[in-house]
Amino acid sequence: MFKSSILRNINSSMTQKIIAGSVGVTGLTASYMLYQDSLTASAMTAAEHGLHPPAYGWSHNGMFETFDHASIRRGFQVYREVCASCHSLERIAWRNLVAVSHTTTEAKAFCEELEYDDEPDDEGNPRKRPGKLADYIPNPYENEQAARAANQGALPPDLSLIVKARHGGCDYIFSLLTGYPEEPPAGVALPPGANYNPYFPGGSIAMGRVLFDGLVEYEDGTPATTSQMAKDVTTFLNWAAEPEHDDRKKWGLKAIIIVSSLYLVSIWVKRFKWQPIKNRKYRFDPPKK
Amino acid sequence: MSFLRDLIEAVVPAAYAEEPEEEPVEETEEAEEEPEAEAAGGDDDEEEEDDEDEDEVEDPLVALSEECKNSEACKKYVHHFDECIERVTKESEEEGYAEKHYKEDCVEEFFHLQHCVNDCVAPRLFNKLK
Amino acid sequence: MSFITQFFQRNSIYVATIFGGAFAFQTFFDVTVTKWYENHNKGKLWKDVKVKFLEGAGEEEDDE
Repeated sequence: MFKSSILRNINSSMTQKIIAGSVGVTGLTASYMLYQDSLTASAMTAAEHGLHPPAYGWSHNGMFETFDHASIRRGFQVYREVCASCHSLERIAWRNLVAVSHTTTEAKAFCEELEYDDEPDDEGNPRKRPGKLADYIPNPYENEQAARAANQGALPPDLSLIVKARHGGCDYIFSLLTGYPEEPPAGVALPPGANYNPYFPGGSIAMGRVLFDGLVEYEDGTPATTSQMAKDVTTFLNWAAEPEHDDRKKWGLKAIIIVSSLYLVSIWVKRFKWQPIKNRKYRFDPPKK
Repeated sequence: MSFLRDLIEAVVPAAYAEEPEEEPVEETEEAEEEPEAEAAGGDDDEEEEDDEDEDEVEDPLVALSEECKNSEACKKYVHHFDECIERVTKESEEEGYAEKHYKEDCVEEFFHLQHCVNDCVAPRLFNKLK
Repeated sequence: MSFITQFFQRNSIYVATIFGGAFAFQTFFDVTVTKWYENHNKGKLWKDVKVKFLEGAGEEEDDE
């Protein structure tokens, strides 16, 4: 009886020691492994988020600044001669360019070069007709599958709303276009056919660098440097995403003037109405007994 | 008087006629071509020279980036980046690099450098562009 | 004073003045703001740019 209890006591203290020891070892091992793992962890890295673009001095920054329409015009030229071979601009019709960057004559000349589907003839055969101002800018590919097939599985996004659709807006688009380094930083492994761009989240982008100095010839004689073309096409894409931009800012100015005057008037009215109430004085004359 | 004009346009039915005439169109094209031709000197040969000139146009972004990279502020980032490249290149030449579980890259160093360059370039670049 | 009482007495005059005043103010306000806005953004607007691109062509086009 007595013996067995001693044995049990020894046993229990031994067990406790073993348990405590193994917990300690497990904890230390786990901590060490976590530490080792953290040295090579690659989640939530800077590369994953992409390099943040700096803030450039766009001429349409500010509450009352319109787009630079000469830049929109040059940007359309860049889009048409460079981007349009892969990227669609589905939401812009030729008529939208009129009085924004081109005259009616010029816009008509653009669309009349192209063929659009017409109504079928009496026997149901499909027909084509020259484009009209009301037609939309045609897609470079028939459908998404064709676009992917032509670009190694990558889909060139539609550019109509791209400035609104990307964090950083204009600054991001400009940085992306001008930000291709000569070679990716050492140690970066890219999938086949991919290019390195620090601004693109993840760094590996299917689109290669497309803008090179002197790629287009501007009609107004502006030197067509890479950054100039990137600036112009970004301004154009910003217009495409926000065609109401100039009018919106004008209406904003009007709204600010009217609403703030009404606000001041309302303050005056309130004070006017409350004046007698605020200034009155109650006097209590106790009845004389 | 845009408001009045809009109002009148809203009331008066005015279909925007097709192009007025063909002639002004041609005039435009001619007028547009002329200054170009003058600038280029007219001859085809000289136009080619012009093209070459345009290719030589220096991109202000490249010049500015280079200048900023060599500035005092970005010096240490250049240093870190170069050091990283050296380290990673050396590592990649070692045996068994392909099987390595973790391979270092220089993206972070590149980002820090580029960030510094951007902060220096961004306020100045658009003054040099049209 | 009599003018003001006259003004309030005839509802037709009263309403017509308000409507006319609103119209006149709207026109004046719009014209002024547009003028300032276009002057503020001089050189960037299409009407300024158009002149540059079509220099010497001397043509009037309906661009709206």
